[in-house]
Parts: sequence; structure tokens; C-alpha cells
Amino acid sequence: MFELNIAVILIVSLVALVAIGVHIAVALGMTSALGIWMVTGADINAFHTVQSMLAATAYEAIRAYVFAVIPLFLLMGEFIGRSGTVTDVYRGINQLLSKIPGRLAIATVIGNALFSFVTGVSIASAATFSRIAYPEMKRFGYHKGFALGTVAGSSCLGMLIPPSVLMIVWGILTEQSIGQIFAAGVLPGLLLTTLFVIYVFLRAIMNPGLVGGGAAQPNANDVSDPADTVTTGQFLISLTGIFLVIVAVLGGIWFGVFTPTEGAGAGAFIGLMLAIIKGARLRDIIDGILSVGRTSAPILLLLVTAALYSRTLAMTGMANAIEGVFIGSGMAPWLVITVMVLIWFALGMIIDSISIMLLTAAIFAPIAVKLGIDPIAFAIIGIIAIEAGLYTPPFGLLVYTVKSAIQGFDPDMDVMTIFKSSTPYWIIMLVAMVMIINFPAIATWLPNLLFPS
Amino acid sequence: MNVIKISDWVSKALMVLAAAWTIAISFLVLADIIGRGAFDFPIHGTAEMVAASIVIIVFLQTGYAIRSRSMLRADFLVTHLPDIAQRILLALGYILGVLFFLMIITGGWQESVLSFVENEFEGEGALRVPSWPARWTVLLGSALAMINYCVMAYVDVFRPDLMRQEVEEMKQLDMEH
Repeated sequence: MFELNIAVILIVSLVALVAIGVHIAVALGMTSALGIWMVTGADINAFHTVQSMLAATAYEAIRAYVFAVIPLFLLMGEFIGRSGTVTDVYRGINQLLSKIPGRLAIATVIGNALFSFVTGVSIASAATFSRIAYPEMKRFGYHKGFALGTVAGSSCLGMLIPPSVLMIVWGILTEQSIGQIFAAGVLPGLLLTTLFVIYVFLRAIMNPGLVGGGAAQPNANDVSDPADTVTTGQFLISLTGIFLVIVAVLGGIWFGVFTPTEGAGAGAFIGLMLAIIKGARLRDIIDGILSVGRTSAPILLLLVTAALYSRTLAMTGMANAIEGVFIGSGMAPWLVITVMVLIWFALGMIIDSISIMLLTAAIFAPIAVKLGIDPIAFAIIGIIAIEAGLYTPPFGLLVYTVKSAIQGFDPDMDVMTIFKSSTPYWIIMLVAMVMIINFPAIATWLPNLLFPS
Repeated sequence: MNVIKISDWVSKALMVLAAAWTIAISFLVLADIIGRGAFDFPIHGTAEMVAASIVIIVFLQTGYAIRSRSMLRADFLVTHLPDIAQRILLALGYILGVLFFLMIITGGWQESVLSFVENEFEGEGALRVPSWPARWTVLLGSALAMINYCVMAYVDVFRPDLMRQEVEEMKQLDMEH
């Protein structure tokens, strides 16, 4: 069945279409159409087959209960994002840490970690914290690059700590349990948070100039603008809200009370309540709903074309062929993983993380399983590598997100400075990834505990 | 120009409808949980209704996703090319988009008509949901997607001024996020 020339044509056309900026969904769809056409005889009948397969996939691929999890989690994230909870928690942590060196940067990391438990996308975290935390750090005389590196670096936690759109997409693509992947992300997420905090703390002690030391340091509770502080009451409401979401949504999913879709539905409702309690205006809520209307369809459409693409991979025998190349090469497992990670990094320079996952997860995951790697641990390894790829110089996309988020108040900050300062975070992510490869229990311990088979 | 205004209005209206539908789905799921948990009375057919709704929601939003430049793409290479080359490549991409959605329509319309005529249902569980609404929405969404790809090709290739303005508006939307 497998013909090398067909595979080469498909890979070349897919890469070419993506490179010239064709919408990823269209590039995947049209390449798949070409592949199906070629393997079914490359004539007019084959063309009919292609059309009916496209139509059937468009209707069937996402017609399942589980896909509702994506818009519902996005809705939850929007409501909570607009409730002001994040700002409260950031400022609250900040006030609690008043004596600790580098407290603003540490609050950014911890705030990101907490925020990650209630939202699913890291670009949102990067944009939010660029606007809350960066001006604050700048005001206190932090080194600008260090401040932005912290914002960019810690935003990866959004994808690694459940719920996360990347975990949902990975689960759908590789047919693994979303609940288990959610559980698998918790310890690695906390591990990364801890390593980030240690890094910030050490840098702050060794080089106080980075965090505004030496200069007259305003006291945390002594800020000129009262709008910049949070009252204990508001802080507690926000913190309780976040914990309620974590317990109800993740707890519900993990203890088998909810399916992921139900958990997301409940989360969206709690998020709405939180936004109302925190005094969000009706306009904000409607904007949030419309914003999900704008962001969820591109992801779900990608999943439609991904289904088409995975059928094509199977029909053309490409998936098996690539697997054969990796397994048959006799490379040591760690070398195979290294090659995969390098591919992810390379892709991280050109396309977003969900697209990377669509192109690679269905091919890489079976190979990893053949090499004896736990599929759930591999999901976490893959997500860390893909997220780290978003910081890889010179094109890492996340850095550009941070850059454009601060465009308004700091247009002179150049991209290379942000890259340089987020590199330590990138290295820490690699360290965490290598730790999970060597000790997969970091990822699998919690899901094994919660879902004994 | 008027055609663009009409198609933009339709795209936006369908997106708003889909957004409202998403909220409705979240309440349905919630009602099902509460019904099951508190009164031991789940809402039958929730899963089936949600499944069909997802297809409908996505294809109601497709036109707007394309038109609002929200579709994911890689522009790292293209931005380094001369302006005219950029616009030609963009147009090429949009033409492929038109073809893609055209094939979904040509491959699916017969079955969509049949599903209505023969009263086809999906699901054998708690609730049997007619399949034609979702199938027809796929056609409708694909048709609007084709129109919007044509509009985008026109704007990006022949009206760079308009294109820049739209890109700015898009960035504004992202910043509000």
C-alpha cells in the first residue's frame, strides 16, 4: 500500500502550504484530500471518494459529547478571566510576600500557576500577566528583561496545569483519557512552579539589582495608588472562587462524579457566578461569550481536519512507514525522543502549539508506546516540549505574544531581550522534561492513584 | 462592497447565534448534572443533543472565524517577503480554502437532502436526534466559508488599505481579551 513518492509529495505539500501561510486547517484538509485521491486511484472516481470523505468527516468527526469540553472550558476561562480574580490573587500573594526578595516575580509565577487551574490557554496567561505584573515590576525598578522573562516563562504553566486545551486535544488525538492526562499534569506543573520560584529567588539574592534592590524600595503595603491593592475580603472571595473551581471541576472529574464535559459545564457556571459576584458588568459577560465564539471554532475546525489527516496517514500507510523508520533505525529510545523533541522545537518556531500537536501527536505517540514509554507520561513530555518550543529563539511565538501585549506601554523593548531572559525558564522546562522521561512516576503517580485500573 | 457588508453581517449573526447556543449547552449540561445528582432525574438525551449541537455550533462559527482572521496560520516566513508576493500567497491560500469547503458541499449535499426526506435519525440511546439540522448547517457554514474566503482574497489582494485596517481591528480584539 505504502508508496514512498506519495508520502514525499504529501509531506512536501503540507510543509509548503503551512510555510506560505495557508490556514493550517485548509493546509491539512487539502493535503489529506490529495493523499486520499492518490491512494484511491487518482482518477474521477477517486475524486468522488475524496468529496464524500470530506463531507462525511465534516459531519462526523466532532459529533461527540466530549468535544463540548473545548468551548465550555474556554467559557469558564473567559468568565474567570473577566472577573478580576486573577488581579486580586496576584496582588494578594504579592502583599503576603512583602519581605521576600523578588516577590513580584515570585507572585507572577505562583499567580500563573493558580490561574492555570482555572483556565486552559497559555497565550491568555501571557497576555494577562504582561498587563498586570509587568507594569508593577517595572514600577519597582525590576530589570525589564528579567520581568518579561518571568511573565513569558511562567505562562507555560497554563498548558501544563489542568484544565488545559492542549491536554484535551492530546487526549482526543491519541485516544487517552482526558481525566488521566489532567491528573498527570499536576505534579509536573507543581514541580515546574517550584523550580521557577527557586530560580527567581536565587537570582534575586545573587543580584538584587535585577529586582530593584539598592534603589529605594517602596513597601508593598505602601503603594501610592489604593486601586493597586486588594482588600482582604476581595482577596479571600477570589481565592475561594478559584479553589471552588478546582475542587468542583477537577475533583469532580477525578473522582468519577463528572465526565470532562460535565466538569467543564459546571466550571463555566461557577465562573459565571464568580464574575457576577465580583461585579462584572453584563457587557463583560456578553463579550466573554462572544470571545469564545471567536476562539473555539478555529480549534474545533482544526480537529475536523486532523481527523481527515489521521485517516490519510492510515490509508497511505505513512504512519506505519514513519514508525518503521524510527523503530527500525535501531536508535536508542532516548535518541528517538530527542529527535521528536527537536522536531517539536523546530515547529514551535513556526506554528502554534495546537497545530503542532495535530501534525505530530498521532504519529509520535504510538512510537513512544512501542519504545515502552507510558502513554500518559508521554502526553506530559510532549506538552512540555511543545510549550518549550514556543520560546525557542529566534521565532518562539510566545515571546511575540508578550512583545505585542506590552506594545502599548513599552514599544522599545526588543524581542531578543525577552528571549534572553526567558531562556533560563526554557532550560528549567527541559530539565523537568528530562526528569519525567527518567522518572515517569512524576506524571503517572497521581493518575494511577485516582484511576486504579 | 455591499456584498461584503451582507456576508459580514450574516457571519457575525451566525457567530452570535452559535455563542448563545454554547451558553445554552452549558446550562443544559448543568441542569443534567443537578437533575441527576439532586433529584436522581437526569435529562434524557443530553449527550445526544450536545453532540449534534457541537457540529452546528462549529459550522455556524466557521464563516466568522475565517473572516475575523482567527484561523490559525503560520506567517513567520511570509512576513519577510515583498508585499506583492505576500498578497499573492494569501490569495492562493484563500482559493484552496474555497476548494476545500466546495468539496465538503459537493460531497455532502445529496446525503443532506436524503436525511431530510427520509427522516434520518442519529443515536439509539436515550434520545434519537434528527440528523438533518446538523448536516444542513455543515452545508450552510461551508457555503459562507467559501464566500468569506473570496471576500478575503479580494480584500487582501486588491484592497491593502482595507486589509491593514481589518488586521488592526483584529489586534484590538485580541488585546481586550
